[in-house]
Amino acid sequence: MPHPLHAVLNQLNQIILGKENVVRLAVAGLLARGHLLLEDLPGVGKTTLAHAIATTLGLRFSRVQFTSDLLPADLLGVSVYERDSGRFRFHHGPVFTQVLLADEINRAPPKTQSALLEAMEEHQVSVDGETYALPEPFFVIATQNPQHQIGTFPLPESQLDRFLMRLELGYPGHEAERAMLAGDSRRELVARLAPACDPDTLAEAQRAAAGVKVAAPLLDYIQALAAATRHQQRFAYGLSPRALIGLVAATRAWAWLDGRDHAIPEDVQAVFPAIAGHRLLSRASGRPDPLAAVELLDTVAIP
Amino acid sequence: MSDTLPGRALYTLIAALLMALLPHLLTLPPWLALLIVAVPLWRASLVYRGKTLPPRWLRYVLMLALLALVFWQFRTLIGRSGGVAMLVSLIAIKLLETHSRRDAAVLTLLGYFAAGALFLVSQSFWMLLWALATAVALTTQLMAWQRRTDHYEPDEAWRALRMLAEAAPVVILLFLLFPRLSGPLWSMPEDRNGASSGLSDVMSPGSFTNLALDDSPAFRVSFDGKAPPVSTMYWRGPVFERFDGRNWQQLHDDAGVRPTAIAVGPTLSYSMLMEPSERSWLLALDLPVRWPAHSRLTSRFQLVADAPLAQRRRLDIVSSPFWHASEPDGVLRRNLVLPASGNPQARALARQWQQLPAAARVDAAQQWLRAGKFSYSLSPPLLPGPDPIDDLLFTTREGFCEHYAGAFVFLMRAAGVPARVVGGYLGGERNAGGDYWLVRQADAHAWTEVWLAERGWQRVDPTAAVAPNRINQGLAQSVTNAARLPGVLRNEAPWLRELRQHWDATVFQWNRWVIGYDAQRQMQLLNRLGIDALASAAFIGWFAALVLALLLGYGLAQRWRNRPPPRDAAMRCWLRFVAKLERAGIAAQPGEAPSSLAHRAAALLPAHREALEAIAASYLAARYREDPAALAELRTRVKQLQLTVGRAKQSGKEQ
Repeated sequence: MPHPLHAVLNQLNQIILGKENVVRLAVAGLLARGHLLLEDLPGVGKTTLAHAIATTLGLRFSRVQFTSDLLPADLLGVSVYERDSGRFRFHHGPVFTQVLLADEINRAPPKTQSALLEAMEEHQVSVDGETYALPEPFFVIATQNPQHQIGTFPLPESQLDRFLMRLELGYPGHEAERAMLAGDSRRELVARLAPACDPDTLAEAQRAAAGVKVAAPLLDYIQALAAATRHQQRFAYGLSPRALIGLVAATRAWAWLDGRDHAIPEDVQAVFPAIAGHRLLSRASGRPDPLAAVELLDTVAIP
Repeated sequence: MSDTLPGRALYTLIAALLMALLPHLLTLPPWLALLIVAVPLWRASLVYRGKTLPPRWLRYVLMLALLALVFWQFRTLIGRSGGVAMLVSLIAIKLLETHSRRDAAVLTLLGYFAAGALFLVSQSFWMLLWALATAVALTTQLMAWQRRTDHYEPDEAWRALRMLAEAAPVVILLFLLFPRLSGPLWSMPEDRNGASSGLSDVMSPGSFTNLALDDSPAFRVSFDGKAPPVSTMYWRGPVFERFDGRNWQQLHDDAGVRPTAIAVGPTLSYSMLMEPSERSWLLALDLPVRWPAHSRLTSRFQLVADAPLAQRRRLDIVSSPFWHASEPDGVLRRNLVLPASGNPQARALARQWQQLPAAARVDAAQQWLRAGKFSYSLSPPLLPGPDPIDDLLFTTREGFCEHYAGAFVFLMRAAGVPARVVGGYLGGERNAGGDYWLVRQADAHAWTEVWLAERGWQRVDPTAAVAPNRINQGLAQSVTNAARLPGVLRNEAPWLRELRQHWDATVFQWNRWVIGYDAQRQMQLLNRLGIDALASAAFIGWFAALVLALLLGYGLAQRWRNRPPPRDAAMRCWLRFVAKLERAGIAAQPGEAPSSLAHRAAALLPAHREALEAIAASYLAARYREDPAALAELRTRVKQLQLTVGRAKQSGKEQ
């Protein structure tokens, strides 16, 4: 019997055409309780994907367009003095949702970016000394334009590390693009989308995925990959332990989506480029080295 | 180009390299040195003005031109001078193509090499300080460009100093224990071409007078125990026996004649540090009774080394101030020979003493000199006439030690007493702080020996009769025209004298304990440590074995730390499968996942598709689900797999 999440995958694939792998990675990332960073050119369907994921999973969704004048209060909420009660009352900001689409996150100033990061890491928000818990589950799907575009504040390494995966959609294939041009508008499709899942089912699936067996030889492989990133001269920094924890979780989620109760090296190889790509900075340029992760997979032997 | 060297790092690299090269450059002809220095400065100015590097052809032309100039100057590119000039030019040229960290690494290593080669230029204490400063500068810039960022960190020099200090114990251990050759590696013939300084092997009028103006050190001596009075410190050098009417010459040592002398009474032991000279003479006090290896005592009781002193050498000598010698008649007859004619007045004077006993003739001659109002002068008038001794004794009455020594021996021989001239050094300057004596070239002196039948050779210094101060108080107090002497030999300010002596003492200890630490002293140290009677070859062998063992142990420890994880049963089985595939012409790629490999193999061997994919699946289940049933299945499937080798190879090639 297919799991509701497979219905979710099917629905998403009908909206984002010809990008099965990216869609699957995105769902695996959410199963692994990670946040996603979608980085690509404008107009390839980043926002559509994020919106569709939220809708089909049956989660509350809010979208914030990040701009250079966006302040932390615009995102988190603000305490307002109410004359009737004579007290301050906190007005919740758009961050109090289950899926937050942070559109063009690198257009906001660093102060706002870091306000979001506390919410991502701690699943809570601190305003005026008060701490407010965020709803569960809580995902951030951030999109950003490629770094070299003007008017952007690139996320520093420490903040990039908070995103489990960085995904690129890329141009659709010829057939997929033709189908998209011929069919209904994507916006309408998303509006018509019926949830194929609910938060409880999702939480249960997350627990099940976390129970996938990861054998010792597979951890050896993951550590061998990490050692390679730390010792090779081409990288500014190796992968952090947080990245490795995320890699294990995503590997489990990928194996679970594949219907297995144990993870295998193929799962690691499937998720590794999305997890390592934005974390491996080239020593020479200081920029992410997107090809490096794939080259590492080709050179590091599976123990 | 990735990995570009930041600008600041390049400046510090150039500065550190110039430090390493400067002493080498000073040994080159000035035009060549300026030409070589211009290259790094040009490179620095290119960075400063943001210009690009010169084109490749220009760099090659420059390199060939510089090397051609070096060759033209030295007629070689190897050896000490030519080799160093080539190294220096190549380092300078290399800067012109330096833009990455890798180039900087090469240049830094070359810089360390050039800094080590500084000791070919000089082994002085100054050079040690300079080489240490260079090492700190090189290490500092090394840290500067090893960092990714280009901002300045103020503690770099301090950290470099600390790292070098941490290396010091190893350096000291290697210095003490590293096997050393008994001779220098780099004593090439060109080293011998320098003009010889110091005593000459012919004593002619003026040869000592010229030396009196030379304040460079000849040797330093430290006595074990109490030093003898300065007036008895006659450092014996060449003995001049043949007189041709003007010059005094040495006679060749008779083959097979061994010195016959008996030492009596207390001995003096002392340690000398000889400055390099072009002579093999070792200036010992009379009479050496124990002397170092590779040297011998001539039949004139002069200590000589087997080879000229090309480098500074430390000698431990024991002498006995009281001694008797017996000489064969031939030697005594030789020491009575005078030219057939010349100097009639002197001969007539000596004839007056012939009736006296031998000892009284010596006293009479000394008395005659003392009474004669002779003066001791640095610039005596030239004596070009046919009878120079007559002119000195009866006309000018002005001379230096060699004049009086020569004249005295002439008088003695004319009076029938065997006599000869001895050259060497007299006295020295005491360094109170370092407790040693500094003997300069200016202390060169000539005195005489007369043979008295009952007492053997007796030292007589006619200068003592003419200028008694010379013996006790040194040259500056005794000559009539001391103003001609170099500054340090005259009276200098007390504080200046103290400063100079302190510095000299530091240098002396450096030379004595560090430069003077040769193979022999290393052996003594090892003997004291209990490693005795080891032939040096065996010691080198053991040392090399120890170093090799340490390196091997380190390598093994590294391998052990990086060892592959132990192979489990599923892995072993899988490797057998991989080997089978390889024999069939399908090689597994390093990072290839099991199912990818199976898919690739299945595409090449469609007949086995099912078996191959089943093997991959059971391997993954056996290893990553730890399923024993899958392991059993994997075993049987791998055993059963029979691949048709020829076809696979062909299809593999088609791929």
